[in-house]
Amino acid sequence: MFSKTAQVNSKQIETIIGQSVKVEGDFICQGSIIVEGELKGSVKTSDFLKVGVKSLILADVEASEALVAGEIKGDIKVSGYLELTSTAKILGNIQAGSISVAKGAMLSGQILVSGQEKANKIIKKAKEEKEEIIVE
Amino acid sequence: MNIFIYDSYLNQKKYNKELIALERKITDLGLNGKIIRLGMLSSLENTVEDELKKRPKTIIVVGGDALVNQVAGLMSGCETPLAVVPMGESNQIANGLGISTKEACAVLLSRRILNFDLGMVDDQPFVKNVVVVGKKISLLIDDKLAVNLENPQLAEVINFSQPSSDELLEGLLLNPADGLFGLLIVKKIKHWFKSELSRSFFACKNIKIQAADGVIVDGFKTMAKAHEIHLLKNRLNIIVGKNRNF
Repeated sequence: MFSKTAQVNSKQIETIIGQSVKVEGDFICQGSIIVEGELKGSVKTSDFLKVGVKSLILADVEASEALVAGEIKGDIKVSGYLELTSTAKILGNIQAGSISVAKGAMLSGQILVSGQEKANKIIKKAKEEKEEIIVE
Repeated sequence: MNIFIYDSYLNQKKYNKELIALERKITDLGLNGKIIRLGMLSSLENTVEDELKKRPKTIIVVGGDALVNQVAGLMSGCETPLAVVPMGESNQIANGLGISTKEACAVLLSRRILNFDLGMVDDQPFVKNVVVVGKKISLLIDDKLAVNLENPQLAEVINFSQPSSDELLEGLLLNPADGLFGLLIVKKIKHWFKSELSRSFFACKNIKIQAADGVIVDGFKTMAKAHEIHLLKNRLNIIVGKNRNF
């Protein structure tokens, strides 16, 4: 499911922080971000964020969709889908549209998932459209 | 009128045959114009400035990266397009533009013009790339991101890349007309029995060099001291080949 909906579009990669590279500062960008190294500061993207297995992020994170396999010490805010793999370690609060957590993932903080409300709205809208078509 | 500027090393006898073939092709295609042969004492700056005043149709550099770089710097902000006919050694810029010596005349004829960004290392222009050299490199990206590197395999600022199948550049945003350049950092990661290359990439507008041993501009000019790399957006009209990868 994730691979279909939230895969990194390779033509839109704006930032890659590779293994053993340390970066400090505030990231604000429109494109996808892949973090395999270390990042201190804050991260904000309107696209996809991938946090690799050996990575460490000491920052608050904001993205539209995210796949986390590494360590994040900070709050995570994802408007769409957030996937935590079995190697993920999160020390902070999570706010996501929808979430999946693999067995083995470590979490310390509050989780707020707001996706159900959005899903209900979409279902309601679809039903209304269907009714309109039948009436016509 | 087309203005052809020949690199000074093309005065050597070994290039006679190639030049005759080129001139014949140019005449056949009706692209002929004025030929300027640079010598040891010629001033390129005066030559280009004088010719630009006459509003030529195209300025065509026949030669290598060093001359293309110099002429591009002098043509910053001009409407006249710059074209390249690669000849001799070191033709990385022409390769990156998708132009080979064999196809250069056809490229000239097709006049596919793109409005390029021109990079600057302090006051030195660059067309294609800048390699930052040093065992310890410290960079500040767009005044907000600090990157400290130890023994990187490569730290390269790229305006546009070669049309190669280089895995390190796969999927990265590298367009010489988007107002951004790419900073590519490659590090060797050693494991027990093997090592692998790890890449980092940042699309940015400005890089301040806080620590490095120097930079190599467009593959030919070494600068021991450089402080800042930035872009001048859409400053140069360049004729490109269809085999480019942007």
